[in-house]
Amino acid sequence: MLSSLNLKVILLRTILITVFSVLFFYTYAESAQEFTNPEDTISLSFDTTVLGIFEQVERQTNLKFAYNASDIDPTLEFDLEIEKTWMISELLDEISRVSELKFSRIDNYISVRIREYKKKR
Amino acid sequence: MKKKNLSNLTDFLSDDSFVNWVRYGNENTAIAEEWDIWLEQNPDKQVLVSEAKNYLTLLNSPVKPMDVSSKELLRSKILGQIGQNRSTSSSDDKNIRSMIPWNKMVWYAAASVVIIASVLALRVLNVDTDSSNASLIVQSNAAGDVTKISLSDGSEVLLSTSSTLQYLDNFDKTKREVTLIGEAFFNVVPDPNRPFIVSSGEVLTEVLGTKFNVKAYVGEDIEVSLTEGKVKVIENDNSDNQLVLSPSERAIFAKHSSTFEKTPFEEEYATAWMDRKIVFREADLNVIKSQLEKWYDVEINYLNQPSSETRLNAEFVKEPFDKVLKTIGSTLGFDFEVEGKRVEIDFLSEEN
Repeated sequence: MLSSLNLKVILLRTILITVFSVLFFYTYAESAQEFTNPEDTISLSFDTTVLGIFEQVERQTNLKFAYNASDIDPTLEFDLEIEKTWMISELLDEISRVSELKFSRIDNYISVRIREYKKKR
Repeated sequence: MKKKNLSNLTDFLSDDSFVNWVRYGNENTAIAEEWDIWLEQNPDKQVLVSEAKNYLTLLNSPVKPMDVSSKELLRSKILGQIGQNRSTSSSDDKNIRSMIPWNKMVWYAAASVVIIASVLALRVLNVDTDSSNASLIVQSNAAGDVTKISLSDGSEVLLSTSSTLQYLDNFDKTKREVTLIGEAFFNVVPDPNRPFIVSSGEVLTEVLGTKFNVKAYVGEDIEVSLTEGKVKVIENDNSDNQLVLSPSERAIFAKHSSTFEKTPFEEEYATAWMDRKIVFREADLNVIKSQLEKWYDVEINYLNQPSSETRLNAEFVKEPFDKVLKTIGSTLGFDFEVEGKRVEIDFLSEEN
């Protein structure tokens, strides 16, 4: 009787450990897949307007841009080399260097702004 | 006195002289003397005479009223007897039934006919008016939920976050009517005989069969966006105020002016919520607040205003609230504090 009870407890613990392990690895694997490596690359087409570049990055990666349309001139065009494979980080650094746009990354979202804000203490 | 031959009890009881002697012997001394002499002459008849006298005395004695205990005893005996009889055989039941008077039997029969006729009539009426037998179903979605609802006519509804749909589980024969608070996408099965009507606050949307999106959250303007077929939008209190939409057209009902405006729309954005996407397209602070409150069941409070105009472009798919808020905060320049369901947003000032 006692040994049967022990067996049940061991079995239950084994099942729970297995379930949690599977869930943990599944979640980890899924979230890992979603993130785009900063070293990922894209190839730019002839459209090098700011919104054109955002759209190409979004289409070729899992990255999404968030921006205030009031801050961005949609006609703003960059003199960037096309038919070249750009690393994402390299591309965004280049845009920041030649414009007032600033980028910060939160997982797979890229926040775009033109201002720096005073942090409150 | 010459006596007949009195040899048994019956002879004595049928003899008038004997009866008179027993009854009136005390009053008629002549008869009494006669019978005294006769008994002396016939001593062997003493026992018979005595027995006959007892019978006559009993017959002549007045009927005494029954006392209470005797009555109870008799009653319980009778009831006991009846009970035994009932449980003994069905033939006895027939006897009991036969005790029911005929006039009552007629009334019972008439009542039975009325009951049966009523039941049949109700069944027939139910067949004619299906909706009288229908139940009202209320489907409500919590924040973040999107659910698919199949209606009795085969139409399908995708109900968006923080929305409620009311409908009958069986539509009637003349129309199909549902009530919406919030947002839903309808894929309506064509039925020329039964228009499909979506009642959403001040606006009715009437169709015969088509695909369209209705957005009617409390306190917001009502939007009807058509992707397929044709729909008519009508102001609830003024049926003259109506608009017919073609595919890729949207009707926006402004609540403050009670007017419809027809505009084109991008289907991808209008129905993005179906994939649980929160899409902001040039969204101002009110839209941002309203969207986040619907999807995350929070109450947002802006402590101040940003220094520049807000027209946010962004989209999020099934992301946790803090990640969404961090991304928007970084873009628009605000700090936030979350306390339970309350969220306070504090816009930052620019660095010089």
